[in-house]
Amino acid sequence: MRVNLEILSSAYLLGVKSIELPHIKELVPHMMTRRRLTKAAKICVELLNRVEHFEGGRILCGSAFGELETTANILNAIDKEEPLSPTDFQNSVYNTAVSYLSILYHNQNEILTLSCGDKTALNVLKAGALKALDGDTLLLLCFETLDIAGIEQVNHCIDYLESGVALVVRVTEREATLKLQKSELKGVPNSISEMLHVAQNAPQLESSIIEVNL
Amino acid sequence: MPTNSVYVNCFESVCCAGESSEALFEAICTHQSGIKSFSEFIPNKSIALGKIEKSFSIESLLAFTCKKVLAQSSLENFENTLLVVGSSVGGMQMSENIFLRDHHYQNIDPKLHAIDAIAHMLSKHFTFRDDISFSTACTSSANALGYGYEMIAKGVYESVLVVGIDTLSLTTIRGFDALGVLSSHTCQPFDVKRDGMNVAEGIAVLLLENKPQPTSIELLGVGNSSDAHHMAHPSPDGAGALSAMQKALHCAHIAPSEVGYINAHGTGTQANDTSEACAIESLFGAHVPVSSTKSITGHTLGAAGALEAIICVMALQKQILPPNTHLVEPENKTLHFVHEAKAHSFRYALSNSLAFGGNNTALLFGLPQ
Repeated sequence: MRVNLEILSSAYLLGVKSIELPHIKELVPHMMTRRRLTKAAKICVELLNRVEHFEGGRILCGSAFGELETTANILNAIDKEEPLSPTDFQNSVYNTAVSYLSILYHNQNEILTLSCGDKTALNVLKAGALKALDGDTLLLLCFETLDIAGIEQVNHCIDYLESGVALVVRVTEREATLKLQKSELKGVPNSISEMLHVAQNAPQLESSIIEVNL
Repeated sequence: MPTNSVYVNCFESVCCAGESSEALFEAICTHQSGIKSFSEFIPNKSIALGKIEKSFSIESLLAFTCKKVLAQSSLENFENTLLVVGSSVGGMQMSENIFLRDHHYQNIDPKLHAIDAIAHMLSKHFTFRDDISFSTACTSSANALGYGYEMIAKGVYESVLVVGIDTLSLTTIRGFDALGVLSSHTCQPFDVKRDGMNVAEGIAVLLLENKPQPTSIELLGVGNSSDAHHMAHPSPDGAGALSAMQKALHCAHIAPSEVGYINAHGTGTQANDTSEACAIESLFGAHVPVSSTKSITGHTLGAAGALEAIICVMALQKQILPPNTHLVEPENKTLHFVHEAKAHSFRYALSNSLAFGGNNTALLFGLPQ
């Protein structure tokens, strides 16, 4: 089945190391809340602030490696026989970032998180296309936050250690105007690549529509 | 949008309470818990966990369980089947073992660390048309079932293999210990004296198809919601769980009074059970039999949704209500808890899954229409 998605709005963030988020204090003014957010949650907050046409609704999010910093904190604490931080543990699940979005913006809709390795962004688009058949507008997100101590021991190909993409989509009967393919930018995680390509190219088109093959 | 019917045609599971689904259902009905005490996971502390008894490699046990499902089915292979995985930790156990041995990350294979490590393992044994993996903590495999339902209902696939899996890892055991929610004995969901949950491991595999077999149970509805309340605590009034159950019933066009059994999430923690009982009471009152089966299986985390879906399917097939073992004095005095397995004529069963982040999923199963 082929489903065409209209890209109503898009945004992306890329950081060779850590992404700077200068507006996060304004976006999450309550300090204690802001301190609990993971970097991925902050990236998602910033992305949500940058897109238009999404006033709450269903969200699909993808990440190949999820909350790597809290996962590493937990592993290192176990290795050193130190107590685990309860906050690190509750923030280690793959749906942490979008759960904070739901809390901050009182979004009580369906929110799902996928993790499919290099196919993550493509699968977020597929899942988004399937859900969009119901006729609503969805927010699609993907992110990676790999900027942790020692990442060079396992990372040999990703230059942009922090990244995030947001697309606001709805189903359309109109013809595709943008080919679904990987981003031409070298060094970005494969897990965000197709969504990044859409976000990089959609703003230049009068009408941005992609064809998703389920 | 045309809607196809979705049938659970084959299934199999492995957990601490049974190496097959039949053994598991027997254990539930006869109160034979698989939970045991272990002292090697947390220094100077004994905790009760659900560990699969026989020594196994995840890959071989997972592949074996999927082969059993394929053998039950009318399929020759999975080449036209979508694989949908639900897991909260994926390959974390392997990464932990390597890191705690080496004290560095160098020998960790990223492909075998993340959630899609499960799909990667299965790709060595089977060919699927496509695969997708969900990770939403303890609702992971319930959401995998929901996605499989949608793929068939909307006519994209004729068959979907749903795999729910999580293995015991130090990350989850010590993490839940840090939150202060682990019990040192078998959990007592919904009891006034409950003092926590039992982390457990499990594999549950279900084949969903658009055509029924003689023993099929229909997956009729799926409901999703978000609490929008707190990362680790459910909303006290159970509003999120209530919304998910209402949506599942609405999706299936079923009235609350028609539901004959609810398999509750019922972890045995103070917060979960009070909140969920409140939600069930507000929608169903005292009429619908309710039980949690986690005092037998433990909480298999990302696998729990799929494992408890199998329990609901078997309850419908056998027309037996599974009991809530170790429930002596219910905290909620209104709900109709099932204390002993009993024959009961019923048409619909609801399974609840609730997770960190306030992620809620309810699945409605029924005898074929």
